[in-house]
Amino acid sequence: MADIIIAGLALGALYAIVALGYTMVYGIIELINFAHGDVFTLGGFIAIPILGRLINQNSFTVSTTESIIGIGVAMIVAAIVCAAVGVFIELVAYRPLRNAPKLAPLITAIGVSLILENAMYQWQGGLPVYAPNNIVQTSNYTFLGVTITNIQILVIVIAVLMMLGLDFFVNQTRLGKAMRAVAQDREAASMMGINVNRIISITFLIGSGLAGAGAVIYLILEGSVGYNSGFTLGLFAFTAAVLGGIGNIRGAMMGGFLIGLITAYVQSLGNGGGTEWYDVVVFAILVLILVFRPAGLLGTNTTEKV
Amino acid sequence: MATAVPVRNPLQVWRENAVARRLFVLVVVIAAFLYPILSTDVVTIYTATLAEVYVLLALGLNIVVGFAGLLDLGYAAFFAIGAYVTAMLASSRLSFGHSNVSTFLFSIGSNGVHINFFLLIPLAAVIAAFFGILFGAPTLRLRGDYLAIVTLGFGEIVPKVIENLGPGNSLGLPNITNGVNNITGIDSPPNVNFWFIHLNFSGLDPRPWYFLGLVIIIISVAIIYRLRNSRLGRSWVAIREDEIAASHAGINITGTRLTAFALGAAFSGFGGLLNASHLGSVSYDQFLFQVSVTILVMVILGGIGSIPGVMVGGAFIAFLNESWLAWVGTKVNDLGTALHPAGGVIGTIGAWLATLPVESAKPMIFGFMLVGVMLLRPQGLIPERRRALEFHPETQHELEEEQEELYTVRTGEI
Repeated sequence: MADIIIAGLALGALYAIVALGYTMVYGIIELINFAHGDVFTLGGFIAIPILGRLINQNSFTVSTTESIIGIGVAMIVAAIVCAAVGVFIELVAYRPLRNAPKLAPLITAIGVSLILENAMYQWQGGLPVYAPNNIVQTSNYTFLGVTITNIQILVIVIAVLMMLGLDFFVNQTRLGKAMRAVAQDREAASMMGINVNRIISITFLIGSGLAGAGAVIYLILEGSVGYNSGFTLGLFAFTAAVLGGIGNIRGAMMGGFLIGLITAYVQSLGNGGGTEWYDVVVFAILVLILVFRPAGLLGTNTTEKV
Repeated sequence: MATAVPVRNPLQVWRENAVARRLFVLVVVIAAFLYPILSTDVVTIYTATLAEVYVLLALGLNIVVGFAGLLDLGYAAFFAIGAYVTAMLASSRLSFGHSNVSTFLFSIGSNGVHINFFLLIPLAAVIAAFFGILFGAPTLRLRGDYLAIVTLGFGEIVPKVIENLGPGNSLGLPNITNGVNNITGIDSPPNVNFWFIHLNFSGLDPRPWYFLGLVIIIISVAIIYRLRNSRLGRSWVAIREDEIAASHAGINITGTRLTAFALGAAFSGFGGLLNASHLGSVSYDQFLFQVSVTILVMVILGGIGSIPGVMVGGAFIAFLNESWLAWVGTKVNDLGTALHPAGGVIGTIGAWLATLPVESAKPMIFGFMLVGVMLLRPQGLIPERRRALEFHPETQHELEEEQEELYTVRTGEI
């Protein structure tokens, strides 16, 4: 049971990072950014060659410094590329439709997702692409009879640091305050002298950048990424965001960990049934939350803005 | 704007001329009936039959997306339900006992369940509608955009459940859907011999299927036109336009949305029935996300809410999907091969074109269509009048005129 919890937390850290992108965008412009999952996949494809270049694949052991440099550089580059792509998508596909009926940006979001996914299919092919298999030299630690790998520790620590950073940014800085203001009331915020379009761009920049960095975490955990990896992961992350209360950043973090734990638990259920049915279970959870607590666990605001 | 002279564009004149419009529809219908009789191109007739199913699906999705303004991203799920209901109730899949009970309309027993096609029509539609209500009811009272993600999830779950409920499944349930092994040997409709109409569905000739599909489409279009102009149809539009105003006018928001969702599902189930019995087999991977997106592209490209629009969009995308794109792909590659020896820049372009994977880029092409239409012509190729006005704020006064007209019509009725 304890190792299921550890695995669930590591997986949940990943969901939480991706869920943040959904929840931030939804919080600020009330749009489900379907392309977010594909931006995440792109991050994985950007990171793989960097990891391959920086980490010596010929030796059996990999030094700690090599791992740190490799992961660090891959995360930064993937985050920058994804952030740029995210901002570009917002600029081209969502901004012109800011005042259109709500259906319009939702449909372009689907379109952008299809374009990105197929572009990655053309670029990388239909098979999963593997990262170097020894990004981190695996070692096990045992506390009180519970085995935990350094990979799991690393993943959870990186994710938690990113979340703390984001939380600080949103709650303590001027830009974060502006972001919250735009989310609360766009018109009033613009009357207070906030450049709304710039804040929305920054939201996409941060959300997509987190997805890019999150993709490296995914590679450390799963070892490979395929052109459609982001699709299902995006759905899971969105479920996490809804579970925590969409638009609520701390809610998304909590929702991510919860969905990770649930997924790990269901997957561990016997007879292979868990691995066949876990996505059905997660979507069932999504529907149940929407029925019984549509505001999510931490959300309060359920009324649609008029 | 007030001083501007109203420009009467041809489309507007056309819209006001009811006689010409009806004549045109009559000519199109007659041409559609005559085409397979005069043509010997069986492949195209077969493709047209597949296209008819897609047109039916596009018409159904248009009720949900176009009339009610709800984004359904799992529409293929209902298509799957209709197809699998057909596959299970009109094949030897669910066999039990040692003998058969046979009547005119069905036979049940050791040879499986075989229900008459025409009895399955209401059955498939009702079962699909039931699932529509099951999944719509909890989510439709929420914000509209939650529905998009729930239907997306639903669209993922249904093929997954079908895949998992096969032989020797991990839950120890009986084999219901045959899992990754398809269900084959689905019954065809009984042959029709009536006056001069002789339709034999068990042969290789696609024409009977074409005629069947055409009749179904004509009936469906008639139903949908009546629906759109009914009290229910006007309620859908009212909710789409302004939910709060509609609810204050006494419209039951959730109930009205649910009817749109259930009716859309029913049409999809109906399409599934037609497709399953036409192809004679079903498999879980016929109903993935790709299919839902394809139907959405048909509706968006043709014109959200516009009945002729989605029919043209449906037929166009279906033909693109089934044959034209592959044809364009080979032509582009041939052109590239021809240009390649030229060398220089042209040679480089040729080399690029020679291996350009046009057909596998289908999702990308559909993606660009969705984005392009929404950005450049959100009302679609053949727009519905109200939509066209709504998407263009500069024509606000026309929209108001239209609303006034609606008001006069309605008060006139009283």
